[in-house]
Amino acid sequence: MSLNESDTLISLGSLNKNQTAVIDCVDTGIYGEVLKNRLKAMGFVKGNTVRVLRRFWWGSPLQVQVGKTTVIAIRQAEANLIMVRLLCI
Amino acid sequence: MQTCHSPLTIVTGNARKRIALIGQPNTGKSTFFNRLTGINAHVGNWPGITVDLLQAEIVFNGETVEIVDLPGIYDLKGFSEDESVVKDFLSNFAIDLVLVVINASQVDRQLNLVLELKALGLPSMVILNMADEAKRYGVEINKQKLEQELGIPVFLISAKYGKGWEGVLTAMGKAIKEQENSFTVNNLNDYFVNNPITDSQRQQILTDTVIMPSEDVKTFTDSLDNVLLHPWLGIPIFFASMLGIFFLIWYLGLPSQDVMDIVTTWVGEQIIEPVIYPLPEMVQSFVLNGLWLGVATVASFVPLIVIFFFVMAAVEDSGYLSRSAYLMDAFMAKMGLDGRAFVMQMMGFGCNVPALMGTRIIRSRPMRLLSMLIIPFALCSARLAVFVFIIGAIFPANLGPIVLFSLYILSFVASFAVAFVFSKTQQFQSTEPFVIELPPYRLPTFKQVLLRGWGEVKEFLRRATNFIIVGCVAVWFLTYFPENATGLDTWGGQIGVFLSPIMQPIGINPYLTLSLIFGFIAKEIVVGSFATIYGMGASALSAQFALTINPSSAIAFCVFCLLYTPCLTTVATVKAESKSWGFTLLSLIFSLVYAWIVTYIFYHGALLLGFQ
Repeated sequence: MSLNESDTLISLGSLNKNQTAVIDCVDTGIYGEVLKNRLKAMGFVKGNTVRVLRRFWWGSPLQVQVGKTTVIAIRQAEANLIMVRLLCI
Repeated sequence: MQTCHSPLTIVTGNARKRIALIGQPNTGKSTFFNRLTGINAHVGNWPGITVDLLQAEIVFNGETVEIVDLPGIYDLKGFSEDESVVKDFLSNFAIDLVLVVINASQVDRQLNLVLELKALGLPSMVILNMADEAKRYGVEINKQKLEQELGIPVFLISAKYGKGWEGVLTAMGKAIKEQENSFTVNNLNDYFVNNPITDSQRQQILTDTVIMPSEDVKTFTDSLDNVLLHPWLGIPIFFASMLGIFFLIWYLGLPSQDVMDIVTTWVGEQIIEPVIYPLPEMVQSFVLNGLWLGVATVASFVPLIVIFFFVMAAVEDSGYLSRSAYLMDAFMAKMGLDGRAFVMQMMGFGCNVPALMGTRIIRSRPMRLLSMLIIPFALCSARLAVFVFIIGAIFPANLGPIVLFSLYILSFVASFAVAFVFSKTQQFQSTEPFVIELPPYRLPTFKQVLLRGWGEVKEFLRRATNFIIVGCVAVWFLTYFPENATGLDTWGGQIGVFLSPIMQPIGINPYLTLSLIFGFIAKEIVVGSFATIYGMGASALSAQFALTINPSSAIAFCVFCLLYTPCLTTVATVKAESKSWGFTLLSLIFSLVYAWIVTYIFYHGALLLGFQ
């Protein structure tokens, strides 16, 4: 791929609309295994791409595309737990 | 790979072979189940299993086989309630074959479940459902290669449109015939601790067999989301579509109820009356005004509920229901709830009971209890029938839909006001994560909606029929005795009079109080009880109401009926789901006090505004 991954880790929650990034890790913090399993099953695994499709009022929840065929809704607080690297074109 | 005891136990003597359906939510598992079982599905009785599981018996080559639809799970070794249910089921009830239903376009992230079943060694078949959608996305799956690497038969199908269906049926028949052993699975988590499924394992299979699209595909869903999830257009469209559903029920469901009334009245007069004519007067009255009235009340509900659940099923299948969770989340978060609680609140408009059960999708107990506390304030279809009758009798026709819609708004406001206040308390505060899937928009097929709707109606009839008939018989007892007494002289009437110091200040007369007492049993019998209490038929009753009840009293009655103690079935469900008598009592007592206070405000407000 001709795209480069940025070196800095940022959270999914800090992406702007239409920005694409590559998932690095998920830190589920206080939510523990349940959320970790859920996020994994939804496609939040290292190396998968994410793109913010839109944000609702006051920025939350976010509509996020995970991989090419999954779309989810996630709140700002939970999106902040997912660390990604921005894709620079 | 490390070695460890397989958690599989061979069990002989599964008298009737059993096939279990497993899959993630949103994979079309229910659609697959419906196509497989048609109208034969029913809720099964599984000792120790805490949720309702749909099952059906179907015949393969002359052999009757049991099909069980297990709850949607993300992971076999997961910790959610549904995941525990699946684990409990697998360890207590022997399985002959497992069908894993996968959304083909999301095979990359759903393969884990397949690998887990393969590792356990359960006889399985992989159903890659929604093959048509996968094709549209450009997902290419090498079926033969996948079968080879998994060592499990794989089928690419569309359960909704029936593509590839014959192949699955044939293979299922063959597999079940050849399968001699039944299996249970114990200590599943321990096994996976010792034999984890690695990401590289999964990745290897995917690289060999699946090509995911490399470019973003611009889909119809994206374009539609641009409008329906638009920050400013989204909410008005959502409320407009809700209003549309109410009007549909108003103009389609209610007239159909009248037709049913005509039928049951005719049967009562022309068939039952002549047959029971020779019997004593008291028995005649019991059969006609007790039993038959109950049956007629149930019957009159069927068309309304059919229409409601058809619409509900269509909204759910289309993918709009989960969008509404997205749209409402920002708002719900302020009340300590999330979008899922909103969806359940909406479900409560059909019937509080399934909505209460549906709160299981909320993982945090405080939030779930909060959601369960406010669902009984949702204007369910049973209460709808009461309101329709009262509104129809008291208000002019052009005001009817507006008054009804206001009651829906009140239902929302009253529920969320409670949520807002209670979410500030420690018992109901939660830190529940919010992550839900937004499936692509799909056209619901007529057959699927019909099957879903039919299933719901069957459930309603199963749950409600006895209740309603018993309720109507109870009404008959309280209003027939002492013999030859009428109206307020009957036992029931005396209870109404006794309570009047409490009910008079909120504009509810003893007759209406009496009907509310019966509403404890089920809201369905409130209208039926009017007929017995006043001793009149439906049309005479309407005229009587118009003469004796003023609009402010009518409003008071509706508001009280909306908020006070829900039906016994709901109370039983609250108890069953919360597993706490304390919470159930809180819910009961709180709703009575709340109803009285809100009704007082509305009654006196209406009087001040001059609605005499």
